Order: sequence, then C-alpha cells, then structure tokens
Amino acid sequence: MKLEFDAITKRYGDHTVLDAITAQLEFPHVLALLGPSGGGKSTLLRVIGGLESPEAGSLTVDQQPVPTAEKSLRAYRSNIGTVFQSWNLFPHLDALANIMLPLTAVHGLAPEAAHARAEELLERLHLNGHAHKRPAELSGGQRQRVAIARAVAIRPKLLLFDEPTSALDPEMTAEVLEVIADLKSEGRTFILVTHAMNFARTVADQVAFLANGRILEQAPAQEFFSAPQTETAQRFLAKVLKY
Amino acid sequence: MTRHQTINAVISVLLGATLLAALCFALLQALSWNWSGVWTYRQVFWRGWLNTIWISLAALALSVLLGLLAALGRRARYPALRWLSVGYIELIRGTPLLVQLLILFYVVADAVGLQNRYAAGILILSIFSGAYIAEMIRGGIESIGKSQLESARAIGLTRWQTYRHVIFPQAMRHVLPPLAGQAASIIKDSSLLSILGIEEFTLAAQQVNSATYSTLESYLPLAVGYLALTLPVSLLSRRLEHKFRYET
Repeated sequence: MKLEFDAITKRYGDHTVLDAITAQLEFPHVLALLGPSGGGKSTLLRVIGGLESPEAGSLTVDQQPVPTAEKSLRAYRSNIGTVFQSWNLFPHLDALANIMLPLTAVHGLAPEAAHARAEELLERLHLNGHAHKRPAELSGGQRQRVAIARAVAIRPKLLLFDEPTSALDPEMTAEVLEVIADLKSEGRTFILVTHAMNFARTVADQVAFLANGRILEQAPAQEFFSAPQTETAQRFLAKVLKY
Repeated sequence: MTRHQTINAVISVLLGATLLAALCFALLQALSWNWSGVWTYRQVFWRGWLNTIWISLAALALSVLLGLLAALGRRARYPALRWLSVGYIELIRGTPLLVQLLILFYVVADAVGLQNRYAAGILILSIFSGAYIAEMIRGGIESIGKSQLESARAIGLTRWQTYRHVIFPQAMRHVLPPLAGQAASIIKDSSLLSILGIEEFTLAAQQVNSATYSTLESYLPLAVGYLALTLPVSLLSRRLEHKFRYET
C-alpha cells in the first residue's frame, strides 16, 4: 500500500496538529505510526480514515485521492475498518447486531448473509457464546475484539487501529494483540497507532515516526528500532524501551 | 429533643389537626350527601371519561410527532428551520395553555375555518404539549456521546441512518420516562378543553353539577376519574426510569 501526503495541515484552534506533512509511505501490509503523545499520530490516522478533513493539503491512498465532499467521503469511509481506543461499540445492540449493522445498512447484505458472516467472525475471534451480549456485559478485551470483528466484517481494503489496547489491562491487551497479529498473518493491510512498542516491532513492516505534527522519519520496523536516525526518535525509544 | 425532631413534631400535629378538621367537615357534609342525583347521570360521566381518554391519546400521538419535528428542526442544517423550532418551543412554553386555547381557538381556528371543536382542541393541546416533548427529545438526542456519532460516521452511515440505528434507539432510554410523565400532564391538561365546550370528563362533571346542584358529589368522582388515569401512567414512568437507570 502506498500513501502520499501533500502538505497535509490540520489545526485545532491555534494548535497545529499536522504541520504541512508531505511524505510518501509505502508498506507491504502493516504500517505503525509511532511517536510521543500529542505528536499527531492519531490525527493523521483519522485523516487517512476520512474522519477528519485537513484544512489544507491532499492525500492519496494507492493513487486514489481521498475525497473531500461528504457524500464521496462516506463511501470512502465505508470501505475502511476503523478500531478506536475505546471500542465505540453501539451499547444498545448486542455483539452480533453491532457487527451486522454496517453490513446490512451500508453494504447492502441480506440479513441472513450478514448474520452468517458475523457468526463466523465471532467464532474466529474466540467470542463464541457472546453473540447475544451487549457491550456492557463484555470485558474490555472482548469488546475490543467485537469492534475488530465489526471492522473486519466489511472486508475493508484498509484497517485502522487507533491505540487499540490503551484502555486495556495487560491480559486483555495480549488477547487483542494476538488477534491483530492473526490479521497480519491472514495478509490484511492495516495501519496501527500504538504505544505497545514491542508489538509494533514484531508486527509492523514499516514505521513512521511523528512528533510535533511532522513525520520525522520512516524506515522498515527492524531498522527503525535498531538504528533510529533522528535525535527525537532516539530519545523517544530510549525512554519508552527503558522499562 | 433536637431541633429537627421539634420541627417534625410541629408539622405532624398541624397535619393531624388539618386532617381531623377535614374529616369533620366531610362527615357533616356527608349527612346531606346526595349520590342518587349524580348516579342517574353516570352515563354522562362515563362518556366524558372515555372522551378524555381518546382525546388524550390522540393529543399524545400528535404531540410526539410535533415534538420530534421541532427537536429535529432545532438541529437542522438550515438556520431558518432552527429559528422556527426555537420560536415555537419558547413561545408555547412561555405562555399558559389557557391563553393558547383562547387565542388559537377563537382567533386562529376561526380564521382558518377549522369548525370541528374536537379537532381544534386536540390540535391545540398537541401544539402545547409538543413544545415540551421537543425539549425532552432534544435532551435525549444530546445525551448521545460524540464517540457514538464518530462510530456511525466511521462505518459509513448516512445522517438519517445514524438517527435511525444509533441516535433514536439510545435516546429512547432518556426520553421514555419523562414522556410517560408528559402523558399524565396531557390527561390533566385536557380538562381545560372544557372551556371550548368539548364534552370531556370535566365538562361532563360540570353538566352533572348544574343539573343536580350537588357540587361535591359531582366533582369528587371527577378527581377520582383523573387519578385512575394518571396514577398508572406515573407508575409506568417511574418503572421506566428505574429500568433504564441500570442498563448499559
């Protein structure tokens, strides 16, 4: 997959979150966006996902420009699976219905077909027996796996993970990371924003390092972790890998 | 005795004395109670009571529709629609129902040629109640977290689909308990329709009173008849509140 950013700028009030990012990111399957908090990783991910419109600049995904008009943007978003930090499941729907909703409402699947696909995913993500539980009845790890199932069910061309384990305890984190690692071995393409450095190191093909609204460097994951080029990245890695 | 207990004792004594006085008064009255006159008019009561029920049901349905439209209007993309909704809600909530009945019935309904007093009465009651329901629905919609809307956007739902699949089902939890309370208000407020000559429960009691001259015997069943309708509704409201509080 190839992403091309041309002077992408995003501001919140006076605060510039993305500072005219111009870059080409190419990766076979998994890209990790790393960097200090507030550096712009999540915002960049949301721009890629069509959830946030930049004030200036443009972006292409595999040579296709990301649209700016709401209607075509909606069609664009519907082919991307997004997994949020706090899962964002629909609390009034059970796990099965959460997975089925985009399939029936957006992708035009018949209820039976959507049901079959949702069941299959629940089983694959070891959620058998939880199909008819609402999010409030599930553990954090289970919720995040349902959210992943919802994102995967639409057979997206690209999956986005926005700090998928930041709200989870270590055991649940392991559950979820395992699922994400499985997605890689299935050959899916995704972009991951995470603070789980060791996981990023094992699962990512390519790393982009962001700080202060800019991409300071990008490199294959192994290279980035063993020999970061910029001083900011060196300090960042030294700090987060210390303990 | 603490201050607290003293105050409580004083209130209890006052309450007891009042109740006793009321009981004595009622007993004295009871000597001259005349239920037989009122009993002969029981059909009038019954018909009035039934009219109150269907008038209230019709007004409830219509006011939910109006409230929904006004609540959506307040959130509309077009400023003109927002102004219209805010104007409606504030105008209606800022004036008494009686005044609205007088103006809308004797001026507006007359001017547009709406002759059927039942239709006019139900419409005015709905316009009144709809303004309050609009605010309940707006509160329910605004209680939905931003993350839910974001999630709806992420999976590609349209604006209407977001309302249908995400906002409305969740807003229901917040809207249903106060809405049940509003239903009780509609039942009580419908008594004012009597001034338009609509033969609902209150007008029926007034007719019985003027025919029999037994005031207490005419109006006591009136209060009981309203309670028979409103108590179950408020009970329902409380149960809904309880039920939804523990969900999610």
